[in-house]
Amino acid sequence: MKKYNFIAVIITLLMFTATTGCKKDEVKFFDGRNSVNFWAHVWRQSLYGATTAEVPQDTMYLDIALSGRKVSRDRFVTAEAVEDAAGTPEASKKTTATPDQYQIIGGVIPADSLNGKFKVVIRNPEALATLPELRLRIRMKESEDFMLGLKENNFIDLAWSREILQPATWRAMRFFFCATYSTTVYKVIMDVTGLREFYYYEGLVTQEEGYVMGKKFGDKVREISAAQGSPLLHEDGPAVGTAIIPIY
Amino acid sequence: MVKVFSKYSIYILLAIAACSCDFKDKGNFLLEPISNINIDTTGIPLQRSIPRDSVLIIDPLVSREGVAESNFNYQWYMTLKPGADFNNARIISNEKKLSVPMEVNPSTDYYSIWFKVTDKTTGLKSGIVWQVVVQPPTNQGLVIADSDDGLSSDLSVVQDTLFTTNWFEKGTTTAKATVYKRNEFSNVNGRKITGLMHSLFAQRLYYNGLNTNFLHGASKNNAFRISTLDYKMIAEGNQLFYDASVNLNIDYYFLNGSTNPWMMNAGKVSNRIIETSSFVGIRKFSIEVPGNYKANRAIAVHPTINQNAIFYDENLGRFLRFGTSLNVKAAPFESTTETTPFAANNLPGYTALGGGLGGDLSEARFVLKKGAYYGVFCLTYTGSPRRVIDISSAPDIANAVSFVFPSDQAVIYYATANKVYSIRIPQGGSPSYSDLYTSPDPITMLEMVRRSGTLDVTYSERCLLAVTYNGSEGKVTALPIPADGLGLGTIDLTRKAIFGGFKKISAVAIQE
Repeated sequence: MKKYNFIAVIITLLMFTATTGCKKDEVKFFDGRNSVNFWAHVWRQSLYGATTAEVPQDTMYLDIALSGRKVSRDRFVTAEAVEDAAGTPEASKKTTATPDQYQIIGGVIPADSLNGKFKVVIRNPEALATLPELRLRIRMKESEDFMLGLKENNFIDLAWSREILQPATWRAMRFFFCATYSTTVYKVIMDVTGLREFYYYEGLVTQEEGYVMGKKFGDKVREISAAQGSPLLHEDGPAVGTAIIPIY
Repeated sequence: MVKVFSKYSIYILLAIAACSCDFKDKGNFLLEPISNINIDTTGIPLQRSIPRDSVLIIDPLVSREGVAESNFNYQWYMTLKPGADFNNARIISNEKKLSVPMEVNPSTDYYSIWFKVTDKTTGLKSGIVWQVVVQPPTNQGLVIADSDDGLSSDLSVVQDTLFTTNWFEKGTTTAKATVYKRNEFSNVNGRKITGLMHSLFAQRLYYNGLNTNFLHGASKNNAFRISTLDYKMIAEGNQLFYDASVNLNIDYYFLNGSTNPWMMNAGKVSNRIIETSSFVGIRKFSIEVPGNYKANRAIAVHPTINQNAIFYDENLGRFLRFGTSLNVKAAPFESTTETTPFAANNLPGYTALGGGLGGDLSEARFVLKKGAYYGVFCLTYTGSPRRVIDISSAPDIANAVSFVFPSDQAVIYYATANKVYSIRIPQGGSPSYSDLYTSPDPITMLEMVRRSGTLDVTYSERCLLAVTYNGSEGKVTALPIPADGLGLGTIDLTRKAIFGGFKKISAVAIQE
């Protein structure tokens, strides 16, 4: 009986020693390898109706972000095209462009930076005259500097087209040029201002400058209407077939 | 043995438990106070205001117990811009006593200066921050645009007690001698400004974050903005317009209120928004107010507040007004349809000779002419007709070259080629005329000393300027209005002053 007591005391003390006698370690920093991912999952770019002769190729500048540590030198990253599995219907293919229709240049995370740009050259083949768009899915490749990151983020779906798409800054354009969007309106805006986007809310264009551009847009619409002897019409959009009414 | 072991085992195990633990580093808890670096700023104000290029001296006492003075290291940091952003600062001195000329851009906001002391023996640092306003040198004065060929203009500046506030010898009330900075623009820029200037005014604006004094002006086909600090051209001609293809045919370039610069180009008015402190570059003129109106220089605008601007449209034969803020989506407002004492909205056939706000800025006054009839047409600032005074019998009015509308008097001044007259138009009374001054040289313009910028102008609205040209020399004759002559239309000829030696003068203004 006494022996058991003795053993119990020994075990209790040993456990006490085990719990109090340990060395405390600091929480370790994450020490995995660095990776780079695309910022977005989808990127669309318009060639604004240009023919092959006018614009043979264009470049996509995609945002990439570092996951890991900054270093004081430029680091490079590459990607590869992802072909769809055989038998995928054409409509749901992520990659319809052939390797001669694009060139993956690669990306760079500049020294001491968390973000960088990834460049892809897209060609403007005559096939785009009939095709609505060309698609390409690319995925990051392991490189000397980077390993693969989260697989949810290491790819991006690209698409390019000759169709003119409504610009992201239309929400500001509509207060200076025309209340209704159509490709016709956007073409005239690009023609008179030389701008594809109108960064008013971003603070790059002042209201007064916008007035001047709006007035030029209105003058151009009136000039075209006078030259053709009938009002310039919206070629598409919600007000298709009706006259374009400039704000100024 | 087992018994002995079991008896002492508890102590042995406790000893093991105690030994196996890490020792605590008690160094962190050892509190031995270290002496501070004392920076004695007795008698040194924390905020200073000094003119640009003068030397800022700050001489604080630095001491630390047991440390020799030779063991201190000093650094004086100054922010690159007004504010307290020491991430954008430079070291202006490494001496204990700061004595450096302030060559940064003047601003009405404080720059910060950080005095950092390091004890080389221990690395202990201490510091204190001072604030300093760097004032521009006094550039206030009468700026005169003159021309010898009628095609290009130069700018000269006259500094005198009449035009420059506190133009006194330091610490006295003795007036300083008149300073002429002749041909200041061409001296600095090596060229003249294209065009015969007809408009000049001062307006202080933010320029790349710094409050900067500017002189603005225009000729028929040109307009400009000059920083009066160094007289460098900031922008000229079409650079002042967002629409670079604009055709310039400028009638008048002026301020409506203190913050709204308006451009009257071919009778149409457009405005420019003033820059904010965070804006980079310059803001420009926007589109014109639409409508079939044609404005002219005889426009009544308020000098300080944003109010209606009223003018008589000679083509439409009616008074029109722009709203309190310029609306580029609507034509100017018409006046009320009242017909008494005159039909402001239907008054065809007149020519506008002059206009301005008067009667303590409550009444818009215009001198209109129709045949041999000359009348002063007065409206409220919202465009309602108020009174009309026949001044057809005013002396030699048919040969008047210009009219001046003082803001706080019931008087209108005008000049013919050789005389200056006043017209008293008291409320409810008939007008009376005074012959004030006979000029030896032909008068080309009559102007008033008038503040347009931010700085106070002592003689604002208190001194007429008769501009003359005799074929070879242009002069400005200052005709001060005595305080007891206010509302009476008199001048004090004993204080008359002549500033000569110019070419043919086309515009004058007070710059700062």
